[in-house]
Amino acid sequence: MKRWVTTFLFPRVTRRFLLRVVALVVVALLVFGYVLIPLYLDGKSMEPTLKDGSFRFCWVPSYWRSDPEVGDVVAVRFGGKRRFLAKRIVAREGESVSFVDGKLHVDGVAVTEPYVLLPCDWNLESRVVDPGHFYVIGDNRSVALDQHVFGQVSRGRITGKIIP
Amino acid sequence: MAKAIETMHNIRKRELGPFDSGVSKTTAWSKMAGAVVLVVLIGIAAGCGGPEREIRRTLDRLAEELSKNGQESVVSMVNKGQKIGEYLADPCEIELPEWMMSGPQRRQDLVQMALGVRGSFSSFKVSFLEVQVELLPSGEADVTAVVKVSGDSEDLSKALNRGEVSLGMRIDQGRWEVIRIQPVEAIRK
Repeated sequence: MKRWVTTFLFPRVTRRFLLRVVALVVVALLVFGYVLIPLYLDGKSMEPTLKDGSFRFCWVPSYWRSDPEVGDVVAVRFGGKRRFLAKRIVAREGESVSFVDGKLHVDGVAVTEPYVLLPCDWNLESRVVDPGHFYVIGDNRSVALDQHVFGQVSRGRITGKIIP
Repeated sequence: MAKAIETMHNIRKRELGPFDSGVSKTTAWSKMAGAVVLVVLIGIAAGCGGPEREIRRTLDRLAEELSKNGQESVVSMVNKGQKIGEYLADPCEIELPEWMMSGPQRRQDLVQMALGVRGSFSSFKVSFLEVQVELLPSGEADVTAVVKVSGDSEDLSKALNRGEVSLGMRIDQGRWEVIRIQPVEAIRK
């Protein structure tokens, strides 16, 4: 047992070992850079679904073969490749979005949102989602309308689904 | 004896497999991996040359001139303004509706604006990151980049922090200059 522990902690640095280390590093860079992206959540816009200061992963292959669905919590590329917005999709292209006394309306119909637990008093005129876009909003709508970053984003900016 | 040597040789051949020139599998794979890495690095280096590299360097220099490190004298400020102006075309198309600037702007006015912003903060650093260059047939270039502003002032960092911009650039007398600046709207209410 002791010998195994010693070998594990202090392996012989052979060519095979070095190759394995290089392969591991390359695979890790590919996986965590392009497939399973780690995210640190800075902000309260998705509370209580996603807590401020928590750690999540974005699963990129979710949308390799299909489009995002309404209700999905997604990572939206915001400031380059390393900064994302975590938001929830509430409407697709062609649908109209509005807020009346804090209640979300899509195509004129009030939407039941069990994930919105904090009070909201937003009023927003109806606007139609452009082709190739999705409408995203955070779950925490207790802040003023102009302080919450939300709106329509192009399909290309939606990087993947956030694993809860 | 000869038969023993022959048997040993056959065993070794079997162990070596297709790499039976006397090179072990591990060594052969190592060489192949090294060759692939070398080819990739050469490809990257080749792809990053020419106008793209010049444009990236130009933006790095512009970011340096825009940044501020401590208090500046009036003479330094004037020199800075002149240097910043060398990177801008005259006129330069700007789309910054939040800053009440839209359409062609004189270089002098843009420099004054930049100096005004710089004067409001003691120190900050501007960087152009993730620069992507697309050369156009007209000789101009469409550039998208992430502008990052970091400093000891919370107001500045919060206000500008990190955002994507689209720049139009052209070469004039051997130097690349900015002819158009427009923020990229990632999300729109």
